[in-house]
Amino acid sequence: MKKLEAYLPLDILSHIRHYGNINELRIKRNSALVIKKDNRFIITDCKTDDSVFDEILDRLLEHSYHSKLGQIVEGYISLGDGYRAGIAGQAVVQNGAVTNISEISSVNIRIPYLIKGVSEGVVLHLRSTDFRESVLVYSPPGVGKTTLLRDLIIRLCREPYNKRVSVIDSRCEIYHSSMACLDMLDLYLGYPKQKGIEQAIRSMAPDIIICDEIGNDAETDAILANQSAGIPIVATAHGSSCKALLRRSNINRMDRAGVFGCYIGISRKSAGSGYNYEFNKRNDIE
Amino acid sequence: MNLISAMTLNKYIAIAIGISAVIYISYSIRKYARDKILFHCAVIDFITYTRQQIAFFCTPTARIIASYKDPILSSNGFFDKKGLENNRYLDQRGRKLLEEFFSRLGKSSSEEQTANCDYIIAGLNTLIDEYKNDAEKKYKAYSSLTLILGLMLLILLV
Repeated sequence: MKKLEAYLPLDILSHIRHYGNINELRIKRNSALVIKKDNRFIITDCKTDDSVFDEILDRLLEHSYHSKLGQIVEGYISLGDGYRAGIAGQAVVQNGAVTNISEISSVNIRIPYLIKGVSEGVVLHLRSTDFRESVLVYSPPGVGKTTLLRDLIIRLCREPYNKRVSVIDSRCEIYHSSMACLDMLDLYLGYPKQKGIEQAIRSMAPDIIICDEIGNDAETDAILANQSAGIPIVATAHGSSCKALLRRSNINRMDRAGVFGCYIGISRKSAGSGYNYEFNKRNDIE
Repeated sequence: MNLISAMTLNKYIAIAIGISAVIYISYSIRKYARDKILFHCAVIDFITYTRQQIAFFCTPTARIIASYKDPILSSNGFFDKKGLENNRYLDQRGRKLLEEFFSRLGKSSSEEQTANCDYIIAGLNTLIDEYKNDAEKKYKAYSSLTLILGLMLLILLV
């Protein structure tokens, strides 16, 4: 939350401090601030007019629109340390591709947290397979897949596991400054997942590859190609249930190829007290 | 005799001071004109550097400014917020160009910003050409004036 001080005006900061630790902050032109806390949305009485919104946006972009354009056309701005601002607005489309956003009208700042021990279920499962099996963690958006990955990375890189972990952090959302001291961690920050996976396997000889939110064709191809290298992958994907997850064409492709040995569904127990796990082993699904 | 010697000495001192003052004023005016042109050239160098950083590397704005070192710009408070307002080398047109440059810096895509840099550089180059022509004309005028004033002082006092 301290990081937000660099981006938000003082009056907005003091307003949101009343709510304690929040998960998301939604800011829209000429609209009220919306806060997400403990899985519910709170519409505040604090409004942001055009000038305040532009000021916040300028700070989020660090006065460097040109540097962030690659992220802007993908719909987000990476703020470092796991913070990410999703953006929406008027797209400029050329030849079917978004080349610019001419009028950004909404920003959704996601605030990351490190919750120790939250990946316990996944660690135990990986250990039971001697760290040889790839797993796919799924849940609807906002449950905490990325939070789980952060804890997982820290645990795997340390005693007693000491695994060489390559993290493909395409959107710069996973990495947190507390991971800087992890000797066994190799970080691919901002790499497209397919490129990061290929390079990690070729150059860094990881024991495990970790990446967030897989599902497009190029990522699927890279993961299928990785199978022959035999390096397990821990990845996440959006899905409300295992059935819904496997209905997605690319996930289905990977399932038919036997990439993932287990699909682990997570859901929140209650605020700050870990997850419920649902283990769906591939053999059991078949 | 002593009084006459003292008066003659004072006259010569007055002549020397007068001529020195005229030379100093002429030199200061020339130096100001030269420093003004050097300052504008330094600004162009900075904007050219900024343009390259944005065009080829998409370097963030803060890093561009932090990485650029120039003694002329630093000594003139160029990177201070109020530096442009109080800068003695900038006239209204120069100030307007630079305000436009800084107001657009980091606010759009690299293509738009490089185009803006080119526009500002062209504007500043036009100003430099004007200042050089102006300085040339003034130099001739001031040189002649210095000579005439010096001669007048000599005639009056000797």
